Formats: sequence, structure tokens, C-alpha cells
Amino acid sequence: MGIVGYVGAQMNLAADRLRQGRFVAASFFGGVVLGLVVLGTVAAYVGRVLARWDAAFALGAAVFSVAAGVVALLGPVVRRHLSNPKIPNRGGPWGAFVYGLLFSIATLGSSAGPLMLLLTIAAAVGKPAYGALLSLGFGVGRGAPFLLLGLFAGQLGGWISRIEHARRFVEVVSGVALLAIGVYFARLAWLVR
Amino acid sequence: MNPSDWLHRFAGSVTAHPALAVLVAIAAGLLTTST
Repeated sequence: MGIVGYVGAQMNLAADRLRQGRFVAASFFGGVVLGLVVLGTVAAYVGRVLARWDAAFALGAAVFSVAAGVVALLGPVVRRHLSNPKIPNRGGPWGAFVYGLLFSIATLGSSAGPLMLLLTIAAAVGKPAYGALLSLGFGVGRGAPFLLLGLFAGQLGGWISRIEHARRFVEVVSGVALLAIGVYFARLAWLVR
Repeated sequence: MNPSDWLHRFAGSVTAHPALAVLVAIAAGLLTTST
């Protein structure tokens, strides 16, 4: 079931309890944001630790960046062969929160390019607070459509579908940027070996 | 330019403009919306 379907179903179930429906949407949003903030913070910590091993870090970052870039550029093919893992979802605010938390991790495949680019930047900068800030911004953007969908009782489904058309463009831009970062790190690994 | 200088400059430019970086991150998240 698509995420619009999930949020919409929650809204229908809570049609007579609009306040709870909004709470469900806000809980899902909170879960998405928290999940991404954790990912961004961990990436920054990992970057800070690995940066001490100069050549190994650069080589690892090169391999990771190129792989993520290729996955992003081949997004439609990857999605055709590798669907996002199923997430058990339950009703209610707590279920929506957990669903949102897992959603941000389970949908890495469908948002690989931009998120991987963000995590790579967070790791390169190596400041956990900054990694958290960047991923908080990404999480707010990623979760905002679903929060609005909940707040406006499912009237924004068409608007979200239109935003989806821009996804491929962002994915390609992120993929190219990741490849460029990969080449940079490969050169760095060669120079500091 | 030494590559490590490049990295430091890159990291410095990202951290020097946190508001811009966060705005770009929000836009990227918004445009990554998948249903």
C-alpha cells in the first residue's frame, strides 16, 4: 500500500475523530524526521571516526559515493528489481510514528540519490550537530507532504503526485554529484596512500 | 590545490551557510517525495 493510501486510510478510519487523524499524521511526520535525523547524525559520527584513517576513509568514501551515484542514476531500473521492504503498519498515533521511523530507512531505495548525497556530505563535514541539522531539513521536506495530507484530510493527493514528477530530476542531479564526489575521493586516496 | 584543502574548503562552505544548506535539504526532501 502506498504511503498516501496508508495516511488516507488512517484519515478515513478517524473521519469522526479529525483531531486524532491529525495526530496520526503528525506522529508519522515525527517518525520520518526522527529516523532521518538519526541517520544524518550517525553518518557524521562515522565520518568523523573514519577520517582518522586517511587513505582507507578516502577509498571507502569513493567506493560508497560511486555505488550510490550509480544506484541513483539507475533509479528506475533498481526500483523495478528491488522493491522497498514491507513495513508492518498499525493504526493509531504510535503505530504511525513507528511506521514513519521505519519508512525513512526502508525507503532508502526510492530516495537513494539525494539522501545518500546528504549522508555523504554529513560524513565529509564530520560534525554530528551539522549532520543532524541537514537531515532534519531533509526530513521536514520529506515528511511535510504527508503532514499536510493529514492536516487537510487527504485533499492534497494530486499535489503530491505532481511533486513526484520532479523526483527523477533530483535523483539524476544527486547521482552525478555523488559520482563527482567519488572521483574526488578516489584521487584523494591515491594521493595520500 | 591539495585535495585535503579542497575537502576543508567544501566542508567550510557548507557549514558557512547553514541556512542555505538546510533550505536545499528541505527542497531535496520535498522533491524526493514518493508514494
